[in-house]
Amino acid sequence: MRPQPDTMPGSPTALRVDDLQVSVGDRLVAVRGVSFEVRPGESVGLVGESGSGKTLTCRAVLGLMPETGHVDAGTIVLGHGADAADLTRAGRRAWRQVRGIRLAAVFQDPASYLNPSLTVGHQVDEVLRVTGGLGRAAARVRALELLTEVGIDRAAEVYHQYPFELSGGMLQRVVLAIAISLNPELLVADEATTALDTVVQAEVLELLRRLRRTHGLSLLLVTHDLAVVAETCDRVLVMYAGEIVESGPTERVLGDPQHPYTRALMGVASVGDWSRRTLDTIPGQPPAAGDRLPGCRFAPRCTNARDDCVAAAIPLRALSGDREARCVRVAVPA
Amino acid sequence: MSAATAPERSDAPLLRVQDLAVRYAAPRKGTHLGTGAALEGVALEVHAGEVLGIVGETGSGKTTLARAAVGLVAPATGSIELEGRDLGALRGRALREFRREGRVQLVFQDPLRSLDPDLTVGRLVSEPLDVAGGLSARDKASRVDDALREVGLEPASVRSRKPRHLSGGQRQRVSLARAIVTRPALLFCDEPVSALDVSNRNLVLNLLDRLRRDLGIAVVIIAHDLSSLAGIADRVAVFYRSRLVEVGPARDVLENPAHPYTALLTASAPSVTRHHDLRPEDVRADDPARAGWAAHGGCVFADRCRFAHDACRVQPATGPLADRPDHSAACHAAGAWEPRSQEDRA
Amino acid sequence: MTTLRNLLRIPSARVALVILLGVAVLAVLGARIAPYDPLRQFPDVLAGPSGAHLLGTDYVGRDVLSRLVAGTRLSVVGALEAVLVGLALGVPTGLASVWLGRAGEWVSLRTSETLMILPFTVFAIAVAGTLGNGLQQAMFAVGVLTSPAFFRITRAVALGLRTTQYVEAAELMGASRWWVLRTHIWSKILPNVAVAAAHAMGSALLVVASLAFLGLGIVPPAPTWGGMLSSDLGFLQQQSWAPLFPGLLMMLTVGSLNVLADCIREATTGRVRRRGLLTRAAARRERTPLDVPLPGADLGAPQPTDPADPPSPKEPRHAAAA
Repeated sequence: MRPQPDTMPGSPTALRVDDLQVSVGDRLVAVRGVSFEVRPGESVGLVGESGSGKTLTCRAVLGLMPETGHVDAGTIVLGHGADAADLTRAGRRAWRQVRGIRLAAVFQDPASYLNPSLTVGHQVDEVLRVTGGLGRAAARVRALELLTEVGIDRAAEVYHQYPFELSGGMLQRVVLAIAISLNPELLVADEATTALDTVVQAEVLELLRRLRRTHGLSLLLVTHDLAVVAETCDRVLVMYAGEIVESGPTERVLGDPQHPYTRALMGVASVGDWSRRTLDTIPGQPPAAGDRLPGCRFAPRCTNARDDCVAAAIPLRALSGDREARCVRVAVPA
Repeated sequence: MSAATAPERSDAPLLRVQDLAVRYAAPRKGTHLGTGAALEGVALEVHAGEVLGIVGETGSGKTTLARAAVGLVAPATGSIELEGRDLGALRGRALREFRREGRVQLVFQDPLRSLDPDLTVGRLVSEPLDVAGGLSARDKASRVDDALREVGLEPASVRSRKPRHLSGGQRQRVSLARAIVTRPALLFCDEPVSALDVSNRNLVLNLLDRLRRDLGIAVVIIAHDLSSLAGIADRVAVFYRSRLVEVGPARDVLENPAHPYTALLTASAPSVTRHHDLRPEDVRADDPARAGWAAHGGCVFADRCRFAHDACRVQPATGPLADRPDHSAACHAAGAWEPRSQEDRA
Repeated sequence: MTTLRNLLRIPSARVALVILLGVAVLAVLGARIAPYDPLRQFPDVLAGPSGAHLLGTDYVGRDVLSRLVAGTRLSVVGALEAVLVGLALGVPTGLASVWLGRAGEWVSLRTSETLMILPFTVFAIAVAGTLGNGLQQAMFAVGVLTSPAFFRITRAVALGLRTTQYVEAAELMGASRWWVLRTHIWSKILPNVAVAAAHAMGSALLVVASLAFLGLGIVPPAPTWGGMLSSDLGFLQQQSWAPLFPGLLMMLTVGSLNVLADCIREATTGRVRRRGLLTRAAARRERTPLDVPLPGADLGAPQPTDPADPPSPKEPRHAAAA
């Protein structure tokens, strides 16, 4: 099923997902056979369009599945060795020991994740006091430190402000401050910069890079924007129609994409070419969740598709340089 | 001061905005809400058949410009002329008559909110014609069908559907169809692709380009990120905090920015090739001491600009660059500033 | 209308509608289908249910069933009058307060507030005292006092609708206020008004009954439900079960109206499931399967587009699966 990865099976991982299958609604499989790992201190980008299954995968890792979704198979393990925690079917008590403490998340619209009737300071304090067990004065000091660390210049002033008084970028910084407050091992960012203005997005991405360095934080970045992944992630996982179709070190995958879908994505992504032209597009439509397709799920839209592409399900093939691709056309190393 | 025009155009500009100011109510005391001004001193032209990209962050005034150009907000000072007619002076019945002509249209950002959920596509697209009156039912139906086909929808299959039974992309096309059914000369699109995936983004942008070609419309695309304009914009106008800071041919403005803010934008935009001529720190230096300059008539970018100096206590006017007459910027240091070099960065 | 279709799908709505239809038939046909003349006095006073008199006779020997049937009309018509007056006064002014500028808004708001602070029953009695002791006058008074409720509901919905983008888009097309009201607003306030009207009808029926019970508004010996209740009280010793009949009928009618109001509200949200009454509570906790967006997935996140393909009849499933 899953090809032997380059790393030793016992090597430490911050997160390990094995053969995850998620279904929605009336048993429609939306994520199938997804396996990946995030190594300590590494940032991994999970990139795909709507319908690719990336959001569901992310929610499965966080234990925030919608009522209509269900994890059918697979395992999700946080940490390694003695600290490994199996999150797959964890109960509420298990999650309470993990959420915020070892695993944190930031999402797309920071304003809706903050209580509008409480000051920012109160909300940062809250995490430190309730989950972190700090006293009131200690929490306040630490909160101010955290706010400064995420790049808020006038931390003391902002501490007393309400969410509606702050811009989107500032709110995202506040949410990040809350997320890292208890020094988690892994931070999951689900489209965290999609709604931000360009300049602010660059600032927040830079902040994420800095936090990774200073805290040794591992990062799982879920996004539809290949450019964001290019700038921020060590490794990239490209998802299409519920499967991972290519993975590997970012520079190598984007520099020399092996899967036709990745190549197509590179073709339509922003490369700073401002000359006037008709833009590239990917013809066709991704398959809907639960659609059963013989063989490769990208075949209907692929220019290289041939008969053997739709004959049977295509496995992920290991390539040189810690890469994988789900395509029968790639050159497999001898 | 009007923006520099391209060398001698035979036709007058379709839309001419001069010294436009739009102001909202002053901020209430004790809160940090409101800027007081949504647009200040804006001079801009749109020519027939071109695609103009307007880019700026939230609160820069770019959406306000579109709303003012279609008459949804009244200007505090300045003028907006469409095909030579002053829009600012229109009121009441005259304004309604102008709107019914449908020479300029605005496509809202979110089709889910701007299409009445209880009406069918057919009724939605034909509403501008119904309101205007004067066409027979048969003519209206054929215009509606034409508009739907232009945007790539099959009239027979969508006409009786309601918006909630369509996908996001189809809804947007319906919204576009409604805008072009009156055969406008100028089309404002408010963030048409912000909510779309990359591959679908390009489909919509290509569609806008085709509409421009087939119907001879001038299209103004309002975006908050540069990737929405890549490849499709002829000219680009950059807005920052209620001011027009730079305008000119797209390639020129984005590859050789004259205003430090534009440079900051291009430096911040992520790129799959990770190749940046500039980094944000090269043009940016936050200095809280200069934060008050903008409120007292100074340059709006002064508090973040690396090249701010005493002259910047007065907001610069948008003027053409010395060597590039079709490219204007509002910067005292335009053409003179140099970003930090590699050595300085180390 | 889809609302109507949705409504008919709810079992409790169907039951309520059937009951109300029955009451309506009684109200229309009234005395004509009663077995006897409601005013005719039989020698058999305070008799129990029998073959001749299905529900027995009252204290002067009148057939109870006939009186009930005949009394329906008076009660229902009275309640209907009150609700119609309330609607006629409340809905147009509610719309006007939103669309006719500052002055209109101020006047209509103050008027409705004044009406709201007047004590209900006292006002009705006062009107009966001045305009005469007739049911018409009393119900007119009730209608006037109910109108602020319709005013507020219409105003609240219309205010919310006025700032929607599709209304703004219509204004951009050069639509007149009248056009916007007719095309975009009217059909959207009807469901809310219908819910309020159903509730109001129930309340008005109870008011009619109360007034009749107190002896106001009705000239005896005309039969009304409230009047019957009142006279039954005087003879509880002989006929302890007598109040049951008018009471039950009132309960059924008012109850059906309230159930109908709830069902209309549910029908307008467009998420009606085929459930029985008891399982409806459980169904409320369950969500509809595929068209619920994931938290955050719909806020500006990439939406699916299938430009050239013909649209699928169902909601796009991509949004839920992303």
